[in-house]
Amino acid sequence: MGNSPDLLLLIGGPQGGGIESAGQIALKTLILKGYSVIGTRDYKSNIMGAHSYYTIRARFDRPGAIRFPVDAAVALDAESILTHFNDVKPGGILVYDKGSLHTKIDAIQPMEQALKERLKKLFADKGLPPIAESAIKLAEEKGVRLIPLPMRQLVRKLAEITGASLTSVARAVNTIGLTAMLYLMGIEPRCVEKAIAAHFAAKKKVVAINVEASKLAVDYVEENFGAPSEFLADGPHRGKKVMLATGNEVVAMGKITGGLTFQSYYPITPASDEAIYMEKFRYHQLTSEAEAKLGTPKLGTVIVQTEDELSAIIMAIGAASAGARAATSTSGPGFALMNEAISLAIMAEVPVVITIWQRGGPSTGLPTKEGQQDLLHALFSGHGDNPKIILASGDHVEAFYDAIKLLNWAEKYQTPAIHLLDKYLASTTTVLYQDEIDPGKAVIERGWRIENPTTEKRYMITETGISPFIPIGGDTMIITGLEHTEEGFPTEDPVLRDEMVEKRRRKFETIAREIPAEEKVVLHGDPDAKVTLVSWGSTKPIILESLKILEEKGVKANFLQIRLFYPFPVKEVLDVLSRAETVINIEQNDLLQAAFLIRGFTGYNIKHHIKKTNGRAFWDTEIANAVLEILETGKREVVVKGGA
Amino acid sequence: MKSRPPSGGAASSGNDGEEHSRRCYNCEYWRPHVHYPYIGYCVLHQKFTMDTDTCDNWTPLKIREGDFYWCSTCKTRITGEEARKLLEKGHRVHRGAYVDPDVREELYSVF
Repeated sequence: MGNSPDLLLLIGGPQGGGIESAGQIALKTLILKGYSVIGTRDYKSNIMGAHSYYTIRARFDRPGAIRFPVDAAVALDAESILTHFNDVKPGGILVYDKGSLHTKIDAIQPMEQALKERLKKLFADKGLPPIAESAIKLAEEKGVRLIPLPMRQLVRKLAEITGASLTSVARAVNTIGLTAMLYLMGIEPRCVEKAIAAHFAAKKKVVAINVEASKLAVDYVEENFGAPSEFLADGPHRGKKVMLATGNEVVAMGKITGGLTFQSYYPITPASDEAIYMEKFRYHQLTSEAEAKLGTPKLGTVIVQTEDELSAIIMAIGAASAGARAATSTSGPGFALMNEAISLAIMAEVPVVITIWQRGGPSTGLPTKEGQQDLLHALFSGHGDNPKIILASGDHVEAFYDAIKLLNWAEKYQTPAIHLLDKYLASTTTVLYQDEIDPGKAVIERGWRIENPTTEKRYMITETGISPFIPIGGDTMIITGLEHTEEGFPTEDPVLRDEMVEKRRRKFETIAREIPAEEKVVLHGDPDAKVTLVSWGSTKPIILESLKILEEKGVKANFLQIRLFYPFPVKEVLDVLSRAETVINIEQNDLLQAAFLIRGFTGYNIKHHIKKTNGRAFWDTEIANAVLEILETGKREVVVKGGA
Repeated sequence: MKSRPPSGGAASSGNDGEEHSRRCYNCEYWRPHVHYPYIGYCVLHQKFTMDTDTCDNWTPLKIREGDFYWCSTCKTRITGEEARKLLEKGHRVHRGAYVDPDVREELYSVF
C-alpha cells in the first residue's frame, strides 16, 4: 500500500508499572486511526519491578516483524532510559521522566550487571558520569528529539484535577508518557482517549483519570514543545471490525472452536496464558456441526491446573482414553517432565494434543524469552520407537486452525500430536480481520470411533494401521503401556509384537499419505527464485518482511516454511531445495535443529545458516542483512544479536 | 494531616539532587510506592502524599539492627545494618514499602 507510514514505537518501564496497558492502549489507538498493528511484550522473569517493554509496529498493511531502532520511545524510569536510549533513530523522539536523570547506574538494583558494566564503560570513555542523564546526552548527540516530562509534578496536578488519590493517578504515568509520544508522532488525542475508554471499559473512574492524564500530557507538550505540524493520514482500516489477540489467545480459541472438552496444565511461561484465557470460555455454545459430532449443544471444557506436568499429561491421556477431546499445554521444561507419558500415549494409541510454547533453554534457561530449541526434543521425546505428529505454526491465523487440525489428527490417527509454538508468538498481539479467524471454517473430525462396541478389538490390526477407537469405561476397560494383543491384553509373543510394531508404523505411513501437501510445507514467493530461505515457526512473518527488503535490494528469494516435522515431508522439501541455487537455513537455536532433521530425513546438507540465540526474536532487517552477507561472502553461518 | 509543599531545609534528599529535611520520604510513617517512589502512603494519617510533602507530625526514621527496611533506591528489602550503610551512601531508606494492590493486573505470569 502506498504512502503508508511505518511506525515503530517502544514503551519501557518497571514490570507492574502499566507497560502492558500502555502497549494495549497504543495498539487500540493505532487501530482507531485505521492502521494495522503488531505489538510484543518483553519482560523479565522476576515478576515485579524489573524492566519490561512493549514494542509496536503500525502501518497500512499488517506488519510482520518488530525491528530496532524505533521512531519513538517512552522511558518511564531510569532503567528504561539507560536500556533504550540507543534504540531510537536519529530524528526520533525520546519521552522520559526528567526526575530519573540523576539516578546512578549502580543504584538500579534490578538492572543486569553486564549491562551496567557496558554502560559505565561507554560513559567513562566519553567522560560522562554513570547516571541516566549521560544516556540522554548521548541520545541528543545522535540527533534524537528529547521530550523530558516532569512526572511528579504532572502526577500531583492530575490528582488535583481529578480529586483521585495520588496512588490512583500514579498508575496513569504510562498514559501521560504514551500520549505525549503519540501526539508528537502525529496521532490525534481523540484516538488515544477512545482507546483508553475501550481498554478500561468496565472501570469508569480509571477511564476518567486516564483521559485527564492524556489531556494533561497534550497540554504540557503543546506548551513546552509545540504541537505537531500535522497529524498523520488515517489508515485504510478505519471503522473496520477487528480483533486483537495474542498467540496464546488464538490457540485457546482454536482449541475451543475445535471441540476441546478437556485441558490440563501446570503453570509455566509462556504457556499458562493459553489455559488461563481458555478458562473464560469454559462453557460455550457449539456450532450445529460440532453439536452433531459431539452430541451436545453446549459444551463445557474442563480445565484443570494439576500439581505438576506429569500429572497434566497423564490426566489428559486419561480423559482422552475415556472419550474426551483432550489436550495439555506447556513449554520446554514442562515437556521434559511429560516424556514418560508420551510413550504411554503412543503405545496405548491415545489421542492427545500437546501444545509446546518454546522458550530459551536449556533447563529453566530464559523463562520469558524467545527460543526455538525444542524441535529435536519434541521429535525424540519418549522412549522406544515413538513417532508422533509434530506441526509448527508460523503465525496467529495458522495457530488457530492448526489447533483444530491437531485435535482432528490426534483423534483420527489415535496418536499424540504436538503443536510447536514459541514465546514470540505467545506474547505478540496482532490485529486479525473478521474473516481470518472464522469458527465456521472449523471442521471437527473424530475418526473411527465405536461408542457402543461391536468388537473388542480396540487395537485391531488393519491395512491403514488405524484401529477403532473405543472409549474405556464402557465395554472396554483396558489401557496399557505394555505391548498388547488386538484386545489390549499384555503380550510378549514375538509374532504379535512384530505385528503391532508394523501396525503402528503403517499408521504413520497413512498419516504421511493423508495429510495434504499444503499442510506439510509452504513455499512463499517466486518458486523460480535462485535463493531459498528455509525456516519454521514464528519466523514466518518476519522472513516474509525480509523478502520484501531483499527484493528492494535486487535479491529475489523465496521462503520454504516447514510446518510438518513428523511424518517428515521428504519429497516436498527435496522438491524445493533441489531447485534452489543457494539455500539458507534460519533458526532461533544454536544446533540448527531443523537443518539437522532435513539432513537426516532427506540427505540434503544446507550449507548456509542464520541463527539467533540471545532470547530475542529476529528482526526483518537482521535477516535481510545476513542473507546479503552470505550471498556476498559465502559465509557458512551468520549469528545475529539484536535486542535490548 | 495537612500536607505542605517543602519550605526549604539543608539535608540531602538522596539521589534526586534536591535539598530537603523533615519530608515524608524520611519520615518513620511513610511507605513509598514500589514503582513510583515519589508517591507514598502515610500510615499515621492514612493517606497518600508526595515524597517532598511534610506535616507537623513528622518523625525521623529510627534504624534498629534487628528490623527490616525498604530501600527505594535499590528497590529491595534490607536489614537495619544495611540501612545505616545505605543511608550514608545517600540512598532512600524507609520503614516499608507500599505495594499497589492493582499491580497484579500488569504482571505477566512467570513460572
